Amino acid sequence: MGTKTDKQGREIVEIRYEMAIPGTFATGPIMGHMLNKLKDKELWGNRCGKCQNVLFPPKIVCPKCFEEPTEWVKLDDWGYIATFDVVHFPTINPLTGIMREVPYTTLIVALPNGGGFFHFCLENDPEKLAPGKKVIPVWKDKREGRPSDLEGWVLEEGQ
Amino acid sequence: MTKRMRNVAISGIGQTRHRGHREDVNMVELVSEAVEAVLEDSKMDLKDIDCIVHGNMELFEGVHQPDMWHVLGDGAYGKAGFRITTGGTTGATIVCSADHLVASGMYDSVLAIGWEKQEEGMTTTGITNMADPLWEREIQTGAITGTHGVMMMNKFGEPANQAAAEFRVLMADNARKNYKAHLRIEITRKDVLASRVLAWPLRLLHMCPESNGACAILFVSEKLAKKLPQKPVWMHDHVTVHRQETFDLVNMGDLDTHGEAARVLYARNGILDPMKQVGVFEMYDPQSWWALDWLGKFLMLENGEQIEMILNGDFAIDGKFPVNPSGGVVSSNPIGATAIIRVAEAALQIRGNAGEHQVPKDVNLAMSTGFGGTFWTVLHLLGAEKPDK
Amino acid sequence: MYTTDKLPLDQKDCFGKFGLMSIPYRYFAGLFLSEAMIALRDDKKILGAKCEKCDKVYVPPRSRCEKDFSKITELVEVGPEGTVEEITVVNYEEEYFKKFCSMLDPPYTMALIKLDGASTKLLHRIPGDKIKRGDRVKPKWAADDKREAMITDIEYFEKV
Repeated sequence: MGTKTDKQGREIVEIRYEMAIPGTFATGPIMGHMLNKLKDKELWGNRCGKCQNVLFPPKIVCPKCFEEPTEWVKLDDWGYIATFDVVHFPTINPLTGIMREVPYTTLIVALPNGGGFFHFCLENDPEKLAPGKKVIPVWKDKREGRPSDLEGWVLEEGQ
Repeated sequence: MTKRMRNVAISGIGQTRHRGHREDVNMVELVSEAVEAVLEDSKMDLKDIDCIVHGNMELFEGVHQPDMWHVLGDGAYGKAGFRITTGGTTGATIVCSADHLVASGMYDSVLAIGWEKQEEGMTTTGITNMADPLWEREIQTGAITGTHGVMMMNKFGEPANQAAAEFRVLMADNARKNYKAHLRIEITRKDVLASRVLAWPLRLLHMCPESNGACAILFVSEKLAKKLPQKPVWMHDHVTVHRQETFDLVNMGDLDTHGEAARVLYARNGILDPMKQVGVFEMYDPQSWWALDWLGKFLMLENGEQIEMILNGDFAIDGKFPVNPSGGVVSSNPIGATAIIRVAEAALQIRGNAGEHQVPKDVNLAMSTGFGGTFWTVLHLLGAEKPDK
Repeated sequence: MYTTDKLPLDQKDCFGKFGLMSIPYRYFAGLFLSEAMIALRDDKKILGAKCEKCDKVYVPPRSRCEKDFSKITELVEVGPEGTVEEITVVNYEEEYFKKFCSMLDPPYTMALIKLDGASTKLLHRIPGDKIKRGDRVKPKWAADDKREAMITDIEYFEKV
């Protein structure tokens, strides 16, 4: 709350505030199944019976075919880097209201079963990362059925 | 040929000067500047306008239902009013809506307004709220992403790096000719490649700024267009392509909403060679790496030919196929206004009074795009001649 | 629960995850409105915006007239007394608002007050639940060191 002086020396009212609205997001049985399985260090997607694509996170319909998936698929816990982002621009995480520390890296893992996995990469050096390199997940000791049960993904040794 | 109940023309265009700081006005006053400009440009009296379509991204300013308290600034008092908010495509979708409202015969004059006052919020945090709260909100980085850069580098190597930087330099050259643009900087390829990394290989100068600005366009029926002084610019067609919300970026082929929109638009309008038939292209380019990839998608270039075209200067104002003579989104990005500015700039090029950044030729057809959400596309086609001719 | 005969589902997989939507914001009042807000702080004066074309006086001030879209540049002093035109009594505490300003203890009255000389009504609060339409009220100003160019520089209105 207050005022600031602009470049021309004029006083202008400026209100600063944080809008923090709490909410509860319902998982539904499909997303909830995947989140619950994270506690057991397992990755689960589902498969569209029509196009046979694996959907991850699992979905109630295949976005392409608009068909209900027909099968749960346990995904292998390794994959290839599809693409990655080494982020040097800090932003506030709206789920916590706290500024993220930089640099951090996000990546998309192409899983061998099909499907893509969007998460953090624990390697921040873009010279060491490249599409096609093999990565494996690192799990946290304490897991509570949320995406952060995974610390992130690391390059497999020798990559 | 598309189905169209009746022809729709653009008969007025108004824009603010897009700026990083507009502490001297509040949101309503910012909008009213663009409305005042469009009334001046069209010589239309506000009381003769039937309907207002208004839009922005509300999480960027934190105001719920801004259309309600903007009535003072947009002139909607006692009129029909609609609100559109479709993320980055907002401005383009506002245009689709205004076009429909006039084409249907519902209204004879519709004022379309897109605006954003980005200094009042935190854009990337606002954008992050569009992601799935159960999965992606913990990880997503807003719009600061180098994923396309990584893929382009992986596919085409160093020439892609050079071309992305060169395209940014071209946008700066164009923006310096457009006094309404936000960043009118003088830069070289070396400056771009030396600027700090935001998300490798995306650098600060590749990325659009956060701007404050508004843009308003007056859409009218053919009958009314004939009475108004500006040369009418005719709405020919628009295509919107959506996709699912999650960032399943493994198969980039899946993400080709741009290519899909272009294929539909070209087929419906008899465009066989877009670079020959279309005179100007105002593309929504939030960062130069995306521009590099998307030029290929919109122009159906399958082998990265755009890289050499950029390095050749083919997309310059006086080049073979001018792209973003306005300076594009990397020069000004008031997000809710950005996509409507693309339409406005395309229309100005057809009218032939864009000013210093006018392309030196008669423009018969012009294209403009909007981009937002998880790779949604809106593609507009405008013409100097009526579409049924 | 969502059901399908195509995929085995389990009720225990349905649960809620607490989440937050937390974003920092700034709001700029603009030069014109700032002048009126600063007058609250420095002079304990309530200013309205007067449309030269139709004489309508907007409180809080607005830089455009809603009727004729003409640009308003004149600020005129209104009040400080006014007449209560509409009321509602608040009987609960809203945690969220406490973040922004001090609140009155319930029950209190939210009132639309037409200040003398204004054409529009100002929303403000009045302690207690005994306020009636037509009552005359005056502002209770916050202490000199507490005013910060906000509408809450008027702590509340009270009966004359």
